[in-house]
Amino acid sequence: MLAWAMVGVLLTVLVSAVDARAPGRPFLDMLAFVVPAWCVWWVFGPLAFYLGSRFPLVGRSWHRWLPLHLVASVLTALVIGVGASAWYLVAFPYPEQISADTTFADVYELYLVTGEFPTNLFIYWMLVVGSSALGYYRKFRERELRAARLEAELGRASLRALKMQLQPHFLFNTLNTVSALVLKKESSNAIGMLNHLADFLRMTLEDEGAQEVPLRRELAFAEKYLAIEQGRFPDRLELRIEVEPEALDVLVPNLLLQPLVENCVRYARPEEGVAQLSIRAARRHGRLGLELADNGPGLCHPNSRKGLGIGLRNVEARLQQLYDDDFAFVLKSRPGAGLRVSFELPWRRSEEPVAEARLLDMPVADPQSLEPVV
Amino acid sequence: MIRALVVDDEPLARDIIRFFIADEPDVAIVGECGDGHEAAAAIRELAPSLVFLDVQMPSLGGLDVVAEIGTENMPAIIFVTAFDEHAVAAVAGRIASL
Repeated sequence: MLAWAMVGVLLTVLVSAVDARAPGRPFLDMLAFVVPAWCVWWVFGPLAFYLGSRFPLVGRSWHRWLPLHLVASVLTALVIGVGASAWYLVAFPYPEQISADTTFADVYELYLVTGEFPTNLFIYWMLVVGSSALGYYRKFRERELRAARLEAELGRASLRALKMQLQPHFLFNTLNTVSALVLKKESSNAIGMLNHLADFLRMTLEDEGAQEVPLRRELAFAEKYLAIEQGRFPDRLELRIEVEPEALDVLVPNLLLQPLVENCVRYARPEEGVAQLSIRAARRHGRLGLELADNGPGLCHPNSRKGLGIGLRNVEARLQQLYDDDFAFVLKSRPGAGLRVSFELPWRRSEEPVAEARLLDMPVADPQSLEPVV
Repeated sequence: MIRALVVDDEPLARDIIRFFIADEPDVAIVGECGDGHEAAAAIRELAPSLVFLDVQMPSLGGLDVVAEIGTENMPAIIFVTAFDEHAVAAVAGRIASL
């Protein structure tokens, strides 16, 4: 506001100084007359500036708001003309030089034809172009900043993921399991598990730089991980995937599901019985509804879920980086009935064919059965 | 004769231990447990002289079992874990505070 006032004053002074230099007329008198007239732009200036930033003339569709501004510029100049003409009749320092039968209409006509009408048009357009450009530049800088932050975050997430997967725990345990299978002469099982592990590691490396991957990729990754875990604990885990076919190509953040799946496998085992993890996805209200649910102890059990807090904070941060506020992320913990994590993400499909990862049979989800994200 | 109890939530891991113990004439496996609660009960009931104890188990972990039984009442322990230094530090810390 202050900046605009200062700019306004400066411009008024400059323009007035130029405008007041009428041949044969005392400068100061004219100045006194002219300055108040130009002050009208203190009102119309912010308006023009606002219109310029709200309806900018930038980008590929720059001509979109052209008609609007054409109309607005003409209207503005006309309105200003009314005021200017009135002011002229009232405050011109040499009223004796105005002939007696000069009407308002005459003055106005003069304004339009030889007066400041074109000038005011010009001022309007300058302001609009200026604010458009300013807005564009600001958005450009914002985008740059966000891209940089996203890179950094992805770098960190990749590193974390790599650490998670290459955690001695997972790798060594899996290799130990393979040893056991070899000892027991269950060669095909051993080879199967080594294949899973190789696929898992390969997928980790392939998706390294990607911010987002198609949902089918994330699911394949989770399935690989779970296939390995199920090899180690045959009766402990049950995985159910219900995803609409068209949802498979929707882009989701890379490594979104992995930390949650891992946490579920580690902690979501009810005291007796089988841990059940279900992943469901469907199109809801034009967006992607994605849900993980397990039947573990939920969040109420004191020891129940180490590491989940950090994992969830990471997920939230990444969603924020990628989608601003255009996402929903909800946790529902029902005592004794498990944990449910629900996402609602923009529905953006991947256009390129992705390297096919074999998936298990995928029953189509009933969209109605996905509870709405509250 | 060393009477040993094998505790690990992963069946195949228990298999490995059993496999290797089979070659030891002085060691006999008196029981196998798949989780911490079973292990605590078995230690009380069977009074083994040696326990192969997995650290990372859901619900009640290896260190929790030691806490429950009490270090004075525990038989000799061989911790079975991939945790390396982490496990050593954890064990040192936990035992110090027991």
